[in-house]
Amino acid sequence: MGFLAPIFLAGLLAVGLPLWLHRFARDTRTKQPFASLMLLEQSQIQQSREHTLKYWLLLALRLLLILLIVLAFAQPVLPWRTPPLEAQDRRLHVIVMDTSLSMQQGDHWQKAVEKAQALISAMKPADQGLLVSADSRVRVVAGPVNGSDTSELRSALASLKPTFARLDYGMLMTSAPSWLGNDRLKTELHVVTDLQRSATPLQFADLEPPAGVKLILEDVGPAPTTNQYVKSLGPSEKDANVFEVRVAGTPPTGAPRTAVLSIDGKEKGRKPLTPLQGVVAVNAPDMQPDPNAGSAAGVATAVPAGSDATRARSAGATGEPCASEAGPAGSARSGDAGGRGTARSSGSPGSSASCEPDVPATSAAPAAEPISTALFADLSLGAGAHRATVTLEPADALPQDDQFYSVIEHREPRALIIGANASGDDVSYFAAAVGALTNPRLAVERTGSDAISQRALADYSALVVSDVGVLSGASVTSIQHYLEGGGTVLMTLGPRAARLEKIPLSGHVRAGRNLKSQGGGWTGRVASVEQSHPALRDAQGWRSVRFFRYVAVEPQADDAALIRFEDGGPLLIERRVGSGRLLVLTSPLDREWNDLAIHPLFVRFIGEAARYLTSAAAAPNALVGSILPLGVNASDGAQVFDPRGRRATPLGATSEKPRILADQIGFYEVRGGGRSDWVAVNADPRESELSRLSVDSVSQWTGMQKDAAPAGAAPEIAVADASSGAKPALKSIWPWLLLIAVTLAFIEPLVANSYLYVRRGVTS
Amino acid sequence: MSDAAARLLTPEVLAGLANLELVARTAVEGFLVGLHRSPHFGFSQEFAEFRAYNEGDDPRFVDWNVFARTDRTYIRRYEGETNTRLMLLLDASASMGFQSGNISKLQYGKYLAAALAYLASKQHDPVGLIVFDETIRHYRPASGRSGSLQGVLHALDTATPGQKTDLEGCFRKFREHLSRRGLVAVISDLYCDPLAMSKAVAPLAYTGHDMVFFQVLDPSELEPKYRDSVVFEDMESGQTMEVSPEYLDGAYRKKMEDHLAGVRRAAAGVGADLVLARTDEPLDSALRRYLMFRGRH
Repeated sequence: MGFLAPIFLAGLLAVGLPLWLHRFARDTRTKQPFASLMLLEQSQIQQSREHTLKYWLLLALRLLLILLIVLAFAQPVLPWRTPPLEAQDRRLHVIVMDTSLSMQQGDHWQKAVEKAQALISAMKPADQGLLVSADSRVRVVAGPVNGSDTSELRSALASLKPTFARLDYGMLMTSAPSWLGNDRLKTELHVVTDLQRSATPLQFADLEPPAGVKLILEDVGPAPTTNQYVKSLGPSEKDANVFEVRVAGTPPTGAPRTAVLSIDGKEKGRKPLTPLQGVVAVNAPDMQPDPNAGSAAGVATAVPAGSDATRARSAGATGEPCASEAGPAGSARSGDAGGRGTARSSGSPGSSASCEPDVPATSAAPAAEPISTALFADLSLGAGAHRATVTLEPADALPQDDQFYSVIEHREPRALIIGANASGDDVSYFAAAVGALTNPRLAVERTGSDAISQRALADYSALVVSDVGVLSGASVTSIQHYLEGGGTVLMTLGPRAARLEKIPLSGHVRAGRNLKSQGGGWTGRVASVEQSHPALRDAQGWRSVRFFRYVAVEPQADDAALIRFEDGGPLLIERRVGSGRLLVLTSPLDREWNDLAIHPLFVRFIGEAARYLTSAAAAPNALVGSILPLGVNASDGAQVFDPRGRRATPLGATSEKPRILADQIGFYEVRGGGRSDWVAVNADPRESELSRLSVDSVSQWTGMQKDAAPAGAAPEIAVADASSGAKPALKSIWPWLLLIAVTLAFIEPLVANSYLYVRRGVTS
Repeated sequence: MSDAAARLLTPEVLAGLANLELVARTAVEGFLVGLHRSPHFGFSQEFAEFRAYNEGDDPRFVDWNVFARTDRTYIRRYEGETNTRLMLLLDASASMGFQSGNISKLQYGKYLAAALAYLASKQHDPVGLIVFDETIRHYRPASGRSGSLQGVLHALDTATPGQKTDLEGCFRKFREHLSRRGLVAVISDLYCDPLAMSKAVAPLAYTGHDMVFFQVLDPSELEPKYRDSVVFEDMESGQTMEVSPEYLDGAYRKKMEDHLAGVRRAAAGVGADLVLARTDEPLDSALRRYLMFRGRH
């Protein structure tokens, strides 16, 4: 037995009060005067026994009352085990309905419902049933209910519908212990699904069902051999003014399909799909690191060119095909250019390790995926953001993935260079390097640190701060707000920052060995460069740069040190601040600190960093099941409306940035900061991969059942082991103690009154 | 005795009278009124008996009126008037202060003594008083003078519960004060050894004293009623004793009956009479016993 509030046990000292009172009462018993004791005899033994009995009864009652009250306040908990099963053959039938997007194909959902109904009908009256829906979330819809009354299960089943979200079998299996619970009957887990191969996790071991649970896969039938889906919408690599629709999957036989492009709800054109050969894509379960993914994302999300250059912010930049957590740059995993994230970027160093796929037994070698394209030119888009919708006609086996949504921003991205002096050398260096970029072309503006508050930082795709120590407190607050809202900043640490104990914006604490060898003739070299990072892909030449001084800071736990000196100190650090991204260069563009500015590397690095940051900023699109990237303007009291025009944010939730889980495809509208933005949400393209698990994979999966129970052991044994090994639940008993205490509180006066009445002695 | 008179004589009613003389008069007058109607008891100083004249009788006592009517000679004899000295011995020990109702044993004893004194005074008998506990606290010799009654009543009025009782010792001392024979009325709860009491009283009885004992007891002493055990404190010695109700209901009552019987035997052994007076009963029964006793002597 344990106590939730053991401090109240100190109240047990109160038992001394009745003890003292009773002792006192015994010593002060009233005596009856009597004329003479001559005829009386001492009958103390008999009398005392009777008297003491009543005395101790009252005392014990009072002590028990105090004890119960104290224990009730201390909230004791007892280990609670469910009573043993009455019948050994009782079972818990857990019916997991795959409600992912792929279940909308053909009559799969109808078959799934029929199978579930058959399972419910087959339940014995003593059995229990549990209905669970599984897509990107696993929800217990109904139950557990007894098999004698399955109406709740049937009504809940009738209310289920497939969604646009993706199901990951690994997530389903690993989360099963939490929603199955520990105290349960022998469990049969019926997964009614289409056995989609792309739903398998990166690690096949994640498919292992919980111990003691018998896994039964209920196949809803064969998948169609053909299915096409829109993979991406973005500017063509050849001509940024031409928009390219990329369609993946196997085309159906018959007439070629047509891509219909609509802008802001108006049809802009129809183009037949043209097969494109030689594009290599990978399927979800067989995903391989694609070192070019980041580059592709950069090319796709930045529209080069002239004054009316167009930039497409495509869905997929926030796609999270990797199940595990990634480093700061891990979220830069991008699919194909502007597409739904089906491939992963090798990304940041943090993500490269965690996202390395363990090729499951079911995986197949990368195969050439047929890609069809359709090009749309001369769209004549006006300034601002536009909602682009691509629809494939005619519909195929899974028409829900024939539509693709994207937000196209037709305006020139701008970068703001901030320095102590708008005309200073460092600001000029940065402005020249950023201005030299052609893809994307960024309009560069320069400003002094004292004029930041007069600018709307949300209009800039990226900020470059030269020596963050020059910023005032108000400027730091503004940029911090910009960062947390999803902005991107590249900043350097210079002489002014070196005088600060805590670095603004990044929050780094200056290390003790600060300012390496000031004026001591020290020359440092770069020792390691994380070349897999998108900003450092063209990293040749870093070792030739000489550094004379830098501001030594200690990277924090969630930082990624992209470049390090020979002494281990970081030169370039990336960290996430809110929804934004921050690159910290610990040495400024100053000839007294380094000679970076005179190396050709400088322009390339600044260009890649700016491209990386602007691409990171342009990520307003999401997949179903992910958190909506609401952007910079959503920081203060933003209101979000779903594609059907209904408010997605609670009316009261205006003080903090809302976190909206996208569960529909289409355009979410974000109203905040005096403007209205759009976020495109598409279905996970892996749901469009309708290929099924091989028979071997299914047998391997179901064969993992052996790991759950000892060889040759019946499932009953497994259940018994699981129940005996499980920790019993703790049950709080304080309400019962309080109830007993209240009862004793009513009894105590009666007993005490009787006792005192007797002590008064004379009756009649 | 009428009901109204009985009500007037109840101890509770008498306790409401402040003056002890008034108490005595009320009790005695009410009692005498009741006697007037009683066919069984009679008392007269002029009571006569007639018997046939025998040779040798004084012819003065021949009732000639009867002889004239019947021609027979009868002798009319008159009851001779004798003065009896009444000595009241009131026990004023601490135990006499016990009370379970509205009146204590001592107070009841005082009423009784006052009534006896008043009654004796009306008969012109000398009345004396000794108040004692373990010693003689007050002594007033018997006197038939007018005003003697007031002195006795005053002495009774001032009597309060004292210390322990030493009945034997006190009776030894009484012999010094009771030189002339007379009637001795002892008012006490008689918590003493009957044999010892008998030995102490015997010299008095042998010297010609007629003795009557009024044993005054509280009802709770005779019939104690307790639901639970109780701690009793002796009013004289201060000792305490826990007594169970079972004992009080059984053994105690038996012992009390034995004690009363022993005291009664002891009194009878010395030719004395014993009257048990309960403090919840009127005084008339005690007075009646006294008059019966007085009539015999």
